[in-house]
Amino acid sequence: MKAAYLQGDLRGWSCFVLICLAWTLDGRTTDQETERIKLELRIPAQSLDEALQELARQSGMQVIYFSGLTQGIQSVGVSGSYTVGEALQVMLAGSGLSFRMLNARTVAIRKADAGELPQ
Amino acid sequence: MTNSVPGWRADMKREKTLSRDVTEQAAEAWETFQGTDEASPSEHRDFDDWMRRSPEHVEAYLRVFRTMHTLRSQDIRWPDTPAETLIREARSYMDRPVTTLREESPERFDSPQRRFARARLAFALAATLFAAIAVAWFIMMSPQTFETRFGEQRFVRLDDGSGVTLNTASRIEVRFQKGHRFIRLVRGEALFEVAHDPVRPFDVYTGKTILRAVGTRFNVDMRADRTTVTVLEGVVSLKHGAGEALPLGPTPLLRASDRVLIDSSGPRRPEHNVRLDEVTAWTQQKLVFKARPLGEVVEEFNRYNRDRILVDSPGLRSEQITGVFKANDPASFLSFLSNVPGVQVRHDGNAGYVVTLDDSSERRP
Repeated sequence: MKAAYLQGDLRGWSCFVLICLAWTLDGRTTDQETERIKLELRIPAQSLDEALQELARQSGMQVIYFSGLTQGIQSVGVSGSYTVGEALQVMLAGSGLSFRMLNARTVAIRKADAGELPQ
Repeated sequence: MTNSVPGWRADMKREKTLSRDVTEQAAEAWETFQGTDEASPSEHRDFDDWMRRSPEHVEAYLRVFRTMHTLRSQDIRWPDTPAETLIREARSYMDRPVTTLREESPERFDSPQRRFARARLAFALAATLFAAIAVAWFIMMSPQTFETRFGEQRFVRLDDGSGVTLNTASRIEVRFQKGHRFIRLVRGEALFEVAHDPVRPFDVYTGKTILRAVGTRFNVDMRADRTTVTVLEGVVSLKHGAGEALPLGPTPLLRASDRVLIDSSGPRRPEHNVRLDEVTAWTQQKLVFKARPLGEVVEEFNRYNRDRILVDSPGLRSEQITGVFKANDPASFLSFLSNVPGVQVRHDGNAGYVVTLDDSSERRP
């Protein structure tokens, strides 16, 4: 009876510690760490808009850009173990676009040469 | 049962004419004979005498008897019923005749004062009864209300098994009746998952529009100037009219992946094959926007966050942006804006964040 109670208590505590740990790690995740985390991605070849939305869905990253940038651009597919950065490099290859990590959870798509506004 | 002499017996002994309320006496008499199985012979005699003294006594006793029968049928068991309840219940039967002995009685003592007093009592009782019915009716008819605060989301399971997810700053009123389920979306956005019930249609009222579903999922997004209805599963019929009582014309049927926009001029032609994950993204606190004016996206963030964002440049507001964002992360969104050449983001104590674009950088005419 008492043992079961303690067990429940212990489980509660370990849960709490895990949540704290996750929260701390999440808080500490830097751009570089995001860059290093490999994800299993399955993004078919499609319009770049759809592909980026799919990347956001599968990676949990926030993605944002001015709509004019991706107009009429198709993306190759990405399938396998990639970091978000690697996947973006593949998806944006040859499009004249690049990306920038605004923070650990947000990526902005931009012109390869400069600002975000469409020219 | 009690130490004191019961009223109907005391009355006998005092040999006075109805000094106490007859109903009260009848109730006590009833208590003596129904509550305890061992009434004494003298109690029987007293009761017999009391009953013989006036037809009014008989009538009162019959009333109490009937009241108790009613109470019992409602599973209120004697002796759990206090005497006060009994008396009150018996009095409320005043307006329903049990016997007509009174009219035939030659010995009845009925002075005009007494009649006036009784009329007054009857009036008071009627008024009380009316008030009680009014209160009960009000409670029964007043809708159940569910709402969310700013930035809050909530799932509500309704009595019929239907589920409603409320988005930020939203409010619904729910009223279920025998043949109908009424929901009013007072403000905000709600995702309805309707439990199937063919005999009780599920009607959602939003402004001048009524949406009827039998068993389906649909999302209603009510804004200041427009309401957007998107069907996720099943079929929803839409009625639009000046008032709820207005006979409604042919009702367009909305099917899964259909979306219709309703503004002051009425419902527009429905769009088909709408991407549903964008419609329900809000239930995960996500904003999914595709080539939407920046001003509208900012309004989306402002729906969820207390620190409002104000974009002080029409050119920038009309700029179209695409993205997937957490609704509660305006900081990252502002970080994106501040990286746009010429854009300045500053925090204003009262207004939240003000986003401006240098005139020199304004590219639009």
